[in-house]
Amino acid sequence: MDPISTDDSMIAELRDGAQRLVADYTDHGRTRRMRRTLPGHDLELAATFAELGWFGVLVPEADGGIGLGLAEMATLVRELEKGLIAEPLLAQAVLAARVLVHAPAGPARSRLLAGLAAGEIRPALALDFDDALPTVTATDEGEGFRLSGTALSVAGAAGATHLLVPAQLDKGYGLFLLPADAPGITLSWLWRADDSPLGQLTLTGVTVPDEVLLAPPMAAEAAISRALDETRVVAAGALLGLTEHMLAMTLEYMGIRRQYDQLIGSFQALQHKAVDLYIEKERAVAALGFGLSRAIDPTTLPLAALRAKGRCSEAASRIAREAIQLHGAIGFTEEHDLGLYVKRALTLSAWLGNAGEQRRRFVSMGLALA
Amino acid sequence: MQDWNALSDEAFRAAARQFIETHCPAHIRRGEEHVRWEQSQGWYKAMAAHGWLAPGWPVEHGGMGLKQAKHLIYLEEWARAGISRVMEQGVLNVGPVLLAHGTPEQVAHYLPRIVSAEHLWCQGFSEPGAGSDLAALRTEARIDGDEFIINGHKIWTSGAVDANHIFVLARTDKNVRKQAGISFILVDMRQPGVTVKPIVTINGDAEFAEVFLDDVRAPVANLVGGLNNGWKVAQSLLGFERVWAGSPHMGRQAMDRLVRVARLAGRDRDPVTLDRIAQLQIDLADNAEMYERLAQEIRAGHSFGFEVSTLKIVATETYARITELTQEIAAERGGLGGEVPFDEGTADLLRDYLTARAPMIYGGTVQIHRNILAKRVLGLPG
Ligand SMILES: Cc1cc2nc3c(=O)[nH]c(=O)nc-3n(C[C@H](O)[C@H](O)[C@H](O)COP(=O)(O)OP(=O)(O)OC[C@H]3O[C@@H](n4cnc5c(N)ncnc54)[C@H](O)[C@@H]3O)c2cc1C
Repeated sequence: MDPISTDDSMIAELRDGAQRLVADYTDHGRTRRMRRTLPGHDLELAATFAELGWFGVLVPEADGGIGLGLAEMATLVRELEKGLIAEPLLAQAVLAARVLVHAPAGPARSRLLAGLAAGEIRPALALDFDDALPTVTATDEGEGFRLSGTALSVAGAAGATHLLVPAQLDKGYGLFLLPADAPGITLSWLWRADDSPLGQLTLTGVTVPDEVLLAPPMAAEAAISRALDETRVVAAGALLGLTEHMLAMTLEYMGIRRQYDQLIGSFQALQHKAVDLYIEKERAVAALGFGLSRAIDPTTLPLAALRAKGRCSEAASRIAREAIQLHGAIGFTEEHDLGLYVKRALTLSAWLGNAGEQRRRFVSMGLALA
Repeated sequence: MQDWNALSDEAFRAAARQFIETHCPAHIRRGEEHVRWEQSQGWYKAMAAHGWLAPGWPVEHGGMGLKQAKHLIYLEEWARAGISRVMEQGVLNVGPVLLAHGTPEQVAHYLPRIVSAEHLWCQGFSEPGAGSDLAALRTEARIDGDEFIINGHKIWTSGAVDANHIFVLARTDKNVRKQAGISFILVDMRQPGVTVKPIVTINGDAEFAEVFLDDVRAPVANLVGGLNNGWKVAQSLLGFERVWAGSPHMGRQAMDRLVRVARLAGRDRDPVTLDRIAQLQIDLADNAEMYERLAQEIRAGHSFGFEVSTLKIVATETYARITELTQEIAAERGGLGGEVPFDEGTADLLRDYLTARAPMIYGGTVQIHRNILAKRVLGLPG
């Protein structure tokens, strides 16, 4: 059974826990120091997540996790993003975790999920840009496989202990598990808008035993596509958290900054702008709710995911740029924390498809004229 | 007597649909357009005869006694059938206002006459100098014995050409804060001194009118809610129906027309058009999701607040944008008026485009609703 549930008391508990952590642990001095470093997230914090069991929120109880649903996870990252401390959960404990959850049952999968839930194994999914499967081929060597190729967009690769690599077999993509330090693996780095690392993976003749084929063709692609959609819904929660935070920062500033002997928040042009941003935020709340309410059923999941991710990406990126404008020059500085949130919003809006990409999917599903 | 609330939502919806399909003639199904009484009275009287006229009124006054959730379903069915509102002020405002603030005599006198269609009401609030700033109104009522003598000039009064009664806000004390000196008075229009001058809308309809009041008389017994208490009475008006103003029904109907015109105009494979339609479809769907959340709150018996301003803004502006795109994708034909010919059918583009302007103005303009949200929800200063 899919472990998705919406037990409200659990959501409240996770929300409170995340809020406490954000209150205690947010330190934008540290956020700044981690920029363009590896792994780009705080290890002490990741250890705390592991202690709290948060790497296992989406891992079924039977596999050693907490076995909660996307709503709980979305709530968690929505709060954590207000302190910019949600990573590496999104890439590792959501995307990679859900690929494993949807992979066919087997001893390797169970071991991985248990290790993930315990915080010992940190998997990352190797993809190409724009959610494409990577250009990696696997040749059957009789005993084991040989993998070669590249994966140009591997979120969560920094700090990962294992890589989940889709690789082309004769009959389609299979899913392989590789230790991150296996011979023949090289990782180089691109820097995302928020200065966190994005892995670029090269595999040159990496040889692996048969057991590491976690999912054969068909099953592999189905698991990845479902996990991508589920992650879109959770990422929408993260974007909503950023949206709420940037809106709150902006409203606060409008209530303290004076010009022309008045608070700038008393200028009607700015009030109406702020109301429009508030309305967009409310719409994002509704879209996330829509997404979560239809994420369990795989037939409704694709639309749920595109609606939630598209709207929340749009809301976050719009509020990001308007927040800069409403702050004036201080919003354009390195010194002001707003910029950290803006860059995070741009990073997550683009990841797994911005609003335009989601519209494209909507159109290709034949829904524009429905 | 049928207890509608005892039915399941589905059964009630089916009953409403069946009533509408049996009794509502095609010429009433003109969506947001205004229909004159001449054409609409048959439908009004059919609703009254079958007990479907006044969904929100208590049963003992000839209403359906619907709980709000069922009431919304009925409104949804009206919208689905594209039914235009017909002489709605009596049912919508006068009945509820009298039940809340009226005397037993007022209730006993006026409510049955609304149901029988003897009294046709219009709303006399706006004036040339008092639109958004309604409290600036200057129409005056002074007491002469047991009568008010009323002088003033109302404008934008919907349905005034067909109405025989008007409820007005009039100034009864000039020496206090402007909101504190206003009274709510019921006025019979069938008397000398009432002059109705139709105003033709941008669409060519006779929807609203100016109403001149020159030494018009109304018994003091027609005062509703007490002297100088009219502002509060007026504020309580439209309490529940404000929710409906934020529903996606107008946008949905316009979307059906947009999709149809996209096909007629051969733009149904054009990626630019498809992307822009997709944007509006998604906006509409997310608006509907917001509205549905409010409807759920209402079903659960919870009260509602300023969400209605949010919904009103998104519902009316999305509706307007849909009509704008409809007109735009018709390309050169978008510059034509009336039923525009395409190879495989016709569509009236201009009327929809223009009709969609009105909901952003009446019921509080979208700017005024933004002012409300800025102050009441966002807590922005002054
Ligand atoms: C189709 C239709 C039917 C109507 N039916 C009725 C009826 O039956 N009875 C009745 O009494 N009235 C009716 N009205 C009138 C309606 O209530 C008013 O039009 C509305 O209150 C706005 O007033 P106004 O038209 O005077 O515009 P104004 O108040 O003059 O506004 C002009 C512009 O200025 C903006 N504006 C004004 N004040 C502010 C502010 N403080 N901040 C920012 N912007 C502001 C407005 O948003 C608008 O864009 C109807 C109107 C329409 C269009």
